[in-house]
Amino acid sequence: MGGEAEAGERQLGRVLSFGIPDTALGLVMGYVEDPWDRDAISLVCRHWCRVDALSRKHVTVAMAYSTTPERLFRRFPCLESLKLKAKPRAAMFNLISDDWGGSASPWIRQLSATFHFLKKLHLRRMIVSDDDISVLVRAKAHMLVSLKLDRCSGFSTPSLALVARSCKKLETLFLEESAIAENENDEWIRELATNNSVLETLNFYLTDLRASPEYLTLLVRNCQRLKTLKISECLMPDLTGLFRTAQTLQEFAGGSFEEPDQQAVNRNYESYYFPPSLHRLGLLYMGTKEMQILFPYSAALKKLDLQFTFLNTEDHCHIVQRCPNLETLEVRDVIGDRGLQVVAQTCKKLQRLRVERGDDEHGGLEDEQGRISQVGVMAVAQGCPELTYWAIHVSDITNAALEAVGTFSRNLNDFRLVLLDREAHITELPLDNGVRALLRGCTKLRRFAFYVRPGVLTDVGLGYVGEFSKNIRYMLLGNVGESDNGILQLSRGCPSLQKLELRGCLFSEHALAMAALQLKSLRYLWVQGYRASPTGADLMAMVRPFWNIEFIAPNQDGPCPDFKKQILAYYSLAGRRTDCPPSVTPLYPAF
Amino acid sequence: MAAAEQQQQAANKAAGGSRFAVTCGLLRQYMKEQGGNGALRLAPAVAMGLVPGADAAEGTEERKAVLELFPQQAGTLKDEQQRKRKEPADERAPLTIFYGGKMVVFDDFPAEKAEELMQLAGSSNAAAPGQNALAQPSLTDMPIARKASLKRFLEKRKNRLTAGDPYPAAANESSKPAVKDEGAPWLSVNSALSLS
Repeated sequence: MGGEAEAGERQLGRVLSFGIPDTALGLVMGYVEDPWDRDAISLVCRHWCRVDALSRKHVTVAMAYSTTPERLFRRFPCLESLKLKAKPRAAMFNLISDDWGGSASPWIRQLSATFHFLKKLHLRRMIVSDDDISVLVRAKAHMLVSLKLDRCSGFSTPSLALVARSCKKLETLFLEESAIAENENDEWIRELATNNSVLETLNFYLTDLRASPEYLTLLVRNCQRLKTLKISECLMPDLTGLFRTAQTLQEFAGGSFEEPDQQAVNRNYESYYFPPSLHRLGLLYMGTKEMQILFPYSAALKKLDLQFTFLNTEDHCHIVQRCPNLETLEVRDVIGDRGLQVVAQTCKKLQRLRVERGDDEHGGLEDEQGRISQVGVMAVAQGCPELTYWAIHVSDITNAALEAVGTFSRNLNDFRLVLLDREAHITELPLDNGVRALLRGCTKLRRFAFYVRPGVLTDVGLGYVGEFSKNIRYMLLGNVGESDNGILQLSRGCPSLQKLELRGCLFSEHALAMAALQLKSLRYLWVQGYRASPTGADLMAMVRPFWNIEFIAPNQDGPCPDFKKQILAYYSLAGRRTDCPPSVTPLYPAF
Repeated sequence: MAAAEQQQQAANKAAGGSRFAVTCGLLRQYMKEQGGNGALRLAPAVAMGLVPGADAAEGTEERKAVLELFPQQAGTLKDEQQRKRKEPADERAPLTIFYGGKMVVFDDFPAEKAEELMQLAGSSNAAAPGQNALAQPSLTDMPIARKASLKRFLEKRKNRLTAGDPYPAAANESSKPAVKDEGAPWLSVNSALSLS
């Protein structure tokens, strides 16, 4: 590297900076936060790339194996916030074996040693050991403002106590849905309560962690800034003191109610006290007898999570009609078409709606009316024009309903539909034209999931998906298409598609490989259920530099049935994974 | 424009219909082949089995018997075929297998075993969906996956609703639901059940 070359580079940098002085460029960059804009800026010239690199505060690494911590530090040495994701999304559906990988160790070691400005760390679907946490705490305790261990596993409560004791600046501790071993009860909450006074968010919702009302109340008393508290199961009658203390609390989720056979059957929840600032609520195991707990506060509610309750269709109607200000509603499909009609009439400000799949396997337990069809979908499309996120599990659906979504739900940027398999017949097949109308209308869509059954979306429909999904970056398709031609049609379009997940489709390995080559923006492909060749050799057609191809066969005890085999392919600057368990075979690079 | 769309719709329907028709056609052909073979092979078997004992049996009854006996007869015939195949069992010959990039040579391989091996290879071939466009991962093979969080909730919910006293160990616990006493890994859905 001679000085001449450096001088030349400077010259080039100045020319391409269009005469903007460095100070000005730095100031302008300070206002550019969108990572897509940042990416574009960094491609202008080396100088701009360097300015971006030094001023970038947050990076999300969507696939932890796509780069190395060393490389990330070389490019962005001043990062303040890092989000890392490892296991495929399918892990949330128990489709990825526990030994798949995704250890946080190499990352935590590097970022503890370097990344001198790191304040926020978010790990999602990763394995985090107690050692990792102690390394992190030793290096970053004085800095850490936010620690999110989001659907992670591998650590235990003593590590939480260590974090609580050491990280005095911690404002956010997020552990939702993590698998945490409980080695010393809820001491960690007491540590947090006695060592921290700046905590704003504590979330251990959907974990099996124990939490005593005494420690929680102590925490709320000492952390006066606490706005969000999402806990595991804890009886509501024991939390009255907590709510009287928590005068600034805005969000609460968790809790629990007595089982029907316990003595306090006749407990009255009508006059339960919630602080006036509370606008977001989710109560575990709430039943018909307890739902009155919501009524005095329902008009002020902006968010309501009823996914983990015992309510029937009728109860949902009663509650929702009292909540005209809801912006977020999360329920199971037990809400039924009737419940959704009430949502459509009442919740004019609704922005996010999630309708999860209820108990349809064991029969008898779930409310019979709890089914969703084109009726409910049409009602919501017409009644809730502000929707930006809409995920729904339906039992039936028609072209007209999908067209209604395309016509009325113009603000959607994320739409996900799953057609359940409990009804033998659905009203209309195929739904190609409905999907076309939906995609044509919802031009802001960035994410799109369509999980149906064979015959619902034909090859023609897949062609429409390719043609009318200009801005879609993430797509999940299940049981779609009739032949290889379908995926090939799709891959001719979808110019922005970065992440594609396919399940239960009949595409051959060769067609999948061709599609991967043809999709210009694709960086991540996950497939389960496809026409596997005996050796997997046809996948090699998509071999290209930096494109890691891994074959996953979860059953190690015997031969893996075809429908369990998975393909994961992604761009990586890190080369081949070095920590593959026996169930993961790297096809490329082979060495 | 509208007309074009309608046409397209019609075309789609036609495409859907034709696909169904193709499937039906294949199924019919398959049934005919199976049925045809069965009938042909059945005729002598039925004659041997029924005619000597029941001279007076009417045609219709006979046909009924044929229908009822069909699967059984087919089974015995298959056995017979297999028995026939096994007759030259004493023969031995060298055998070479190429599989998965490896070659294996046996000097004295019994013909009977070779036959079994061929059947095995043939059956796995037929099962491999590689060449068959109709072989699709079926809905029963690939049920819609349920979110882990909901799955755990529904299990707990079921326990609460069905069992009268699902958490016997919790009797002496004051306020904490017994499920948590397990201390079991978070993922074990049946934590409540494994308590006892």
